[in-house]
Amino acid sequence: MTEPAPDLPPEVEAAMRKAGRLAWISLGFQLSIVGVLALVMGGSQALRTAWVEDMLSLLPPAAFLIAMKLERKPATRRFPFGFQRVNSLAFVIAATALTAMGALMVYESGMTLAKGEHPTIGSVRWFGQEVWLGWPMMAALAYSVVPPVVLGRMKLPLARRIADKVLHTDALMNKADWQTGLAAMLGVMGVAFGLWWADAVAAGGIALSILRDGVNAMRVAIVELTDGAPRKLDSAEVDPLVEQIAERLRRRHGDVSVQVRETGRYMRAVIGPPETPHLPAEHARALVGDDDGWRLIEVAIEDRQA
Amino acid sequence: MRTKVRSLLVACLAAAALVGCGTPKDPAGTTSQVSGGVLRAGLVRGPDMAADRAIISRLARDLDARVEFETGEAHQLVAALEKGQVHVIGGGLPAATPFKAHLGLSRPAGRLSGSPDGEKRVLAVRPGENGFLLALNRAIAAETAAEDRQ
Repeated sequence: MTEPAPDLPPEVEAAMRKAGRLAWISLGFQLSIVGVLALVMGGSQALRTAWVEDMLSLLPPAAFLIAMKLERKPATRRFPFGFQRVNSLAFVIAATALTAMGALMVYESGMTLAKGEHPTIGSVRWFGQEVWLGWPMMAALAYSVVPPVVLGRMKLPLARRIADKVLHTDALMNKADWQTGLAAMLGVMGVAFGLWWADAVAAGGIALSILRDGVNAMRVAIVELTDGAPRKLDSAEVDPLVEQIAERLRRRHGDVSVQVRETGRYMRAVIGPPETPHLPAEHARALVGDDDGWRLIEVAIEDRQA
Repeated sequence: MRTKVRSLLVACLAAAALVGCGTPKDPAGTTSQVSGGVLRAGLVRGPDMAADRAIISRLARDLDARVEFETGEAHQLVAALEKGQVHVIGGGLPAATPFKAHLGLSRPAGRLSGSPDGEKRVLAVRPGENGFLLALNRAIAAETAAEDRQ
């Protein structure tokens, strides 16, 4: 018999559905922003950086939706623990992409400043008039600022409710998005005033904030993949729930060692006798054979009594 | 928090509206140097010289400037442009010119003569001279419209 996906309390179930809807809405708006900015692309590095960030912010909601779908599947013979860690995997992918892109863009704007390259922004023909492309750029950036402000603020409490790091990262990226948009507007404005460096400085500032987001997310993702203790949603601190679980298990089972780790949004605790951290060698060899016995280190009997 | 966002947005839009009426400025001040003075132009020798000469002459009229032309090879003119010895170059620069990174390219000014696949021809200013580039683009638009009418 394989295990089904864990049951969720109705309010968490409802929050998950709402989060799913928000992720779809995000994808829609984000795509429209990417399209609008692509229309006015050209010359401004800050705008290009903001555009790349808007494209990158398609990743977390997409990863969230895919992970949510897979995670609800029951375990199979080939995946006996189910698919809870798809969520962790999605998180690593999103975090890595974010970090790489941030680093690349910091480098680019640094080089632009070092070489003293002046950004050239041309013009477009609108209603028989040549209009400097900087003005439509600023209008498009102003549009790009509004949806992330609203969506990010709606996602944060939901992410907490359903203990979802991908959604939390997504909300943080939305915050970075609107700051990015404003910074890029300032950059283009600087160019309008003849300050050629304003654009690269704005782009560099944006890129640094992307890089910081990426590195933070990657730290948490690595912690989870190395079976670290569950962390708080918004920092690298160990969740106080871990201590509470350990303490209550000891109260019930006496002096035992307790290990708690995180698989996606769920937690798993293992209790064992404190004096023998691993399966005794003879027992393991009896189960696996002499050659590979060393590889089996744990046989857990799960506590299912209410 | 939300009011902070809104006031920042308002500030940006207000500033945009303020400058919106004018044209962007040039970091190296090309427009103000040329206006009422001398517009120095470089033309690459070739079949597109005449058409680009007309565009540059119109630009000079728009800026109340006297125009001085010199002709030369593309390499040499790009170098002169980078040093600020000429303000604009033309005469058959392809839109995909290999000098692209060193130039501020204009809008297409027409077909490039002798290009089998109908490539567009552009003119160029120093990179980042956005106000001057806008003036050039306006001259190109006016000149090509005048050609179409003929």
